[in-house]
Amino acid sequence: MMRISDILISNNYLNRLSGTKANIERLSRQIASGVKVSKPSDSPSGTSKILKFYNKLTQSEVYTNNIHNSLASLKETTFAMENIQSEVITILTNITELNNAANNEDLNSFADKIDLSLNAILNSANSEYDGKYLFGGTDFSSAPYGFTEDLSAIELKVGDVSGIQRVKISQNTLQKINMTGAEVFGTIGEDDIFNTLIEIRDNLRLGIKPTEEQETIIKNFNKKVLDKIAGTGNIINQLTDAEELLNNQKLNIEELLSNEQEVDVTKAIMELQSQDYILQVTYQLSAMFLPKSILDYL
Amino acid sequence: MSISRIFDISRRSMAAYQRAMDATAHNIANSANPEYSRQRIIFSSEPPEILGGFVWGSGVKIDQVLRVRNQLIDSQIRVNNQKYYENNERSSVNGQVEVLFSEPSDMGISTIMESFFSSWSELAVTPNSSALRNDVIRSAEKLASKVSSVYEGLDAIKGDLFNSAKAKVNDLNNLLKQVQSLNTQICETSALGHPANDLLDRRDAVIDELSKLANISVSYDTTNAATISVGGTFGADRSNVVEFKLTEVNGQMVVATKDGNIPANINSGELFAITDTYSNQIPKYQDNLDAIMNSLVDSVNDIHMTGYSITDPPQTGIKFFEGYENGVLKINNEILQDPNNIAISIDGTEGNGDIAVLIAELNGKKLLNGLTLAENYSSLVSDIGNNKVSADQLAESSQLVIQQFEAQKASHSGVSIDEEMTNMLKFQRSYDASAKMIQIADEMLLTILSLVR
Repeated sequence: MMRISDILISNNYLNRLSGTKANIERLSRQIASGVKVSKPSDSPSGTSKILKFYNKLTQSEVYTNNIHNSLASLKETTFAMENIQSEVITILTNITELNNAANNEDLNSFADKIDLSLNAILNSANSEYDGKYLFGGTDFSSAPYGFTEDLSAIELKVGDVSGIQRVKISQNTLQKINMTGAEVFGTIGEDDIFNTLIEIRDNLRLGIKPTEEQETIIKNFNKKVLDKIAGTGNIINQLTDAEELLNNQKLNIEELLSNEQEVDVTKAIMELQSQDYILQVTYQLSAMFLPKSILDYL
Repeated sequence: MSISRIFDISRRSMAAYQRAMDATAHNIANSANPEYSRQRIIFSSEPPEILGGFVWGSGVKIDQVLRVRNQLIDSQIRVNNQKYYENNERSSVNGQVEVLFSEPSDMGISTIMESFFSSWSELAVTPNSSALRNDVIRSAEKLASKVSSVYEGLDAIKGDLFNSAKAKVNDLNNLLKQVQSLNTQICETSALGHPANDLLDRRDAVIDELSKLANISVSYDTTNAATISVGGTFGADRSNVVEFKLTEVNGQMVVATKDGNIPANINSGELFAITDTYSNQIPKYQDNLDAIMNSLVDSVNDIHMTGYSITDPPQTGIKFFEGYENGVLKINNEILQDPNNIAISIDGTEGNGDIAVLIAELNGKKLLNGLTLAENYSSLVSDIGNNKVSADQLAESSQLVIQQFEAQKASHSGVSIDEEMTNMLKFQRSYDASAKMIQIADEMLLTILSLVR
C-alpha cells in the first residue's frame, strides 16, 4: 500500500488545481477574444490555413476594387461614345436634310451644324476620367486629338492611341478595361471621322454637298461606335459577373475563416462551466482534508 | 540481579525515547520542507547479559537515525528534470518568437506582403495616379518596417538568451561549488560518526537544481562524496571544482571550462535549450525570413527594371528595392523622392501598367522552394508554432513523469504528520513507562531499605 505523506497530498492538490486553472484561463481567453487561434502555437496548421484565407480575402478585396475602378472608367467611356454616336446621328440627319433641294440655299448653316458636331465629337474623344484620357490608349501625356496649327485638320497629339490597359480581376484573369482611340476613331488622316467632317464642312461653305463616299464613311463610323458601345457593355458585364463571383468567394472564405479561427462560444462556455465545477469541488475537498491530521483529535 | 539494573535499563530507555522524540520533532518541523527526507529511528535491543544461566535483556538503544531516501527515484527525477526544463525553456522562447510575428492577424508580414502585391494590382488600373504610386511606396515601407521589427525582435531575443545563458552558467558554477563544499562537510561529519542526513538532503537538492540546467551525471565514492560531470566534462567532487564559462564561436554558443577551454557537450536542460535556440533555431528563422525577402527583392527588381518610369524622359533599368540585408529592406531612394520613378510601363507611356500587373502576379508564383512567398512564410510561422507546441507537449509529458516520481518520492521520503504524531504518542508512552519503572524500582529499593532499619 502506498504511504501517504502530507507533502504528497498537497503536491497532488496543487498539480490538479493548476491543471484546472490553466484550462479555465484558456477557455476564458478564447471566450473574451472570440478567437480560438490567436497565436501560431494555438494551432500551427490552423494558422497556416488562416493566413491563406486572409491573403485570399485581401486579394478578393483588391480585385473587387479593381473592378469598381474599371467599371467607373468604362461607364465614362460608354457615356462618351454614346455622346459621339448621338452627334453622328445628328450629322447623318443633317446630311439627309441636305438632299432636300429646299436647303440648297442654306449650306452655310449646315456647315455650322457640322462644325458644332465635330467639336462635340472632338471633346468626347478627349474625355478624361481620373487623370486618364479615355481614348488615349496608354499615353496620357496630353489630350489625344486636336487641330493642327493652321486649324485645317485634326491630328494625333500623342504618339500612339492603341495602348491597351489591363488589370487583374482574379488570380488568372487579366481584363482589358479601355477602348482605345485607334479602335474607335481608326487611323487619323485615313478617311477618319474628324477630317471627313472638316472636309464636309469646308465643302459646304464652298457650296458643295457631301459625297456618298463621305456619307458612307460617317455611316461606317456610326456602326463602329455602336459596335464599340456593345463591346464596352460586354466588358462591363464580364466585370459585373466577376464581381459577383468574387463576392460569393469572399463569403465562402469568410465562412471558412470563421470556422477555423472563431471560437464556438456555446461549447466553450459549457466547458468553462464544467472546469469551474471541478475547481469548486477541488477547493471544497481540499478545504475538507488538507488542514486535518490526528492533531485535531488529540 | 540487582535492582539497579532496572534503573539502568529504564534510564537508557528514557534517553532513547527522548532522542526518538527529537527526531520526531525534527520531522514535524520539516514536514513542509520540499527537500527534506524524513528520518526514521532504528531501535534495537541492547546486547543481553548472561547471568546464572539465564539471558537477561538490557533494554533498548538507538542503532541509527535513518534518512529515508531512494536514489533510483532521485536519478529518474533528474533525468526527466533535464527534459522538462529544456522543453519548458524552448516553449518559453518560441512563445516570445511567435508573438513577434503577430500572426494570424492583419498586422503580420503575411497580410502586409499581400497588401504590397495588391497595391501593384491597384496601380495597374490607374498607372499614372500619384496617389496609387504613393500607396505602393507606403505598402513597401510598411513591409520593410514589419520585417525590420521582427528581425530586431529576434536579435533582441538572442541578446536576452545570451544574458540568460551567462546567468545560467553562473548558477551552474555556484551549484558546483556548493556540491564540492557539501561533499567536504558530509565526509567530515560522517568521519566523526554522525549522520549527515540534512547535509545529504541539501546536496541532493543542489544536484536536482543542477539537473535542471544541463545533462549531468552523478556518481558516489566510498566516502559518500558525489562526483558531478556536466556534459561529459568533470564538474566537481570532494576536493575539486571546475568553473565553466560561456563563449560564442562563429555564432555558436559554447559552454567550456574556464581553465583549459574544454567544451561541455550540453545536450539537455535549460542551458541546452538556450544554446540551441540561440545558435541554431533563431538563425534558422532569420535565414528563412532572409530567403523570402531576398526572393521578393530579386523578383520585384527583375521585373521592375524592365519597365519605364513616367518621368520626362522615361527611364528604365530602375530597381524598386535597393536591397535587403539583415532585416533591413531598403526602397530605392530615387523612388522615395519621386514616385514617378516607379517603372510599371512596358512601353514608356504613362497609362501602361503591364509591369505592375506582372509584379502583382508574383504573389501567385512559386518563387522559392517550389512554393509561393506567402506559402514559404506560412510554413515558417507554422514551424514556429509547431516548435512551441512540440516543446509544450514534451514538457507536459516530462512533467507528468516527474509528478509521478515526485509522488513516489513524497510517498517514500515525505513526512506524514499522522505518522509522526502517532510515533510521538508511542515514544511518550514508552518514556512515561520507563520513568514509571524508575519510580517502581525506587519504591522497591525503599522497601528493601526499610527491612534493614
